[in-house]
Amino acid sequence: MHEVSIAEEIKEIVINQLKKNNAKKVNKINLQIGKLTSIVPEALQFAFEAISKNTELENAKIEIEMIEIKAQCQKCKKEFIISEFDYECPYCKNMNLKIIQGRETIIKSLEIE
Amino acid sequence: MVEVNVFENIMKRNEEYANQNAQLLKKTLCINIMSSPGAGKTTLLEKTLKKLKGKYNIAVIEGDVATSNDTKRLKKIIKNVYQIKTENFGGSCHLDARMVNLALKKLNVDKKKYDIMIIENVGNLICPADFNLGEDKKVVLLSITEGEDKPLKYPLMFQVSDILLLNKIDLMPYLEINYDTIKNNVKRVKSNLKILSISARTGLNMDEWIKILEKWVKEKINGRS
Repeated sequence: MHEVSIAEEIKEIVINQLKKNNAKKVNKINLQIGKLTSIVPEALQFAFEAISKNTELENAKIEIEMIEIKAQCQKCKKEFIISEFDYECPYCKNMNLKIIQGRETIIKSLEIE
Repeated sequence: MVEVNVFENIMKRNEEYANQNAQLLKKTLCINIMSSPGAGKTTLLEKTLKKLKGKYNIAVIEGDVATSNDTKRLKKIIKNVYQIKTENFGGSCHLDARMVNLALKKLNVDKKKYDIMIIENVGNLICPADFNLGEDKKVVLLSITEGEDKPLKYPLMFQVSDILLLNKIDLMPYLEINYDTIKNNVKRVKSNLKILSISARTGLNMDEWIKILEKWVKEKINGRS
């Protein structure tokens, strides 16, 4: 259900963009979603289809670029990508990490006409 | 057909409301309690309110998909409880900053000079982690009956939280569960997350929790402009 709220926000931003650009239709919505968010791409697509029926957003395709989780070790200051459940610095094995990427929820661009 | 760059945060509107809430709560400590359903949030609140009422002016925002059951329980202890039923907002599985904003206004937060505002989020270890509400502290409550691997399965919830209250610790003798395994799993997700084992039901370590809460209130008050 979380994806429905996200889809509603996307719908609002896209409608504003259509107005701003004097466009009638959106074909594709390009998103960047961080892997640390709990957004499920398939659920988001499904939610978006449901709420965009009979609007100028109908049939728009959602393209999601998943953003890796990136952290900085607070000891050796190196930055690295975190794979699943392994929150440990690969260089010095320190576990005190600062997450610096992976919580993004961004509308990157739209294909409109 | 043209491609236009947007680069807009989808959560922007939520963040705007969260900032508004933080402004409304400039002189109030606000905590957001999150857990799965049945972990013991409402029992924790009952016990917490009983210990703090009289000393502080407290209000509670209750989030549930349906029913006012929790509000009824808490209203026996304090007056200012507001129930958000998310079924009125599309049956949402989490509270967002706009719902909290409406609740804060219903609780007359601008006039009532609350010391503490407690938000009991919808029972769910996933979605609430994605939504800032304008709170000062996020508290995650995990009951030991839920299993040892929950921090690994739902890392964001533990990542964003300021403290983990490990509840139902009195049930330890009856379960095949290892405290060190839970602790290590928490560490792998957030190495510096403070863990406090409690039993809201028996009262074990509840004084320790109250101490932390009162320290937060003091910190917020000292920052009062």
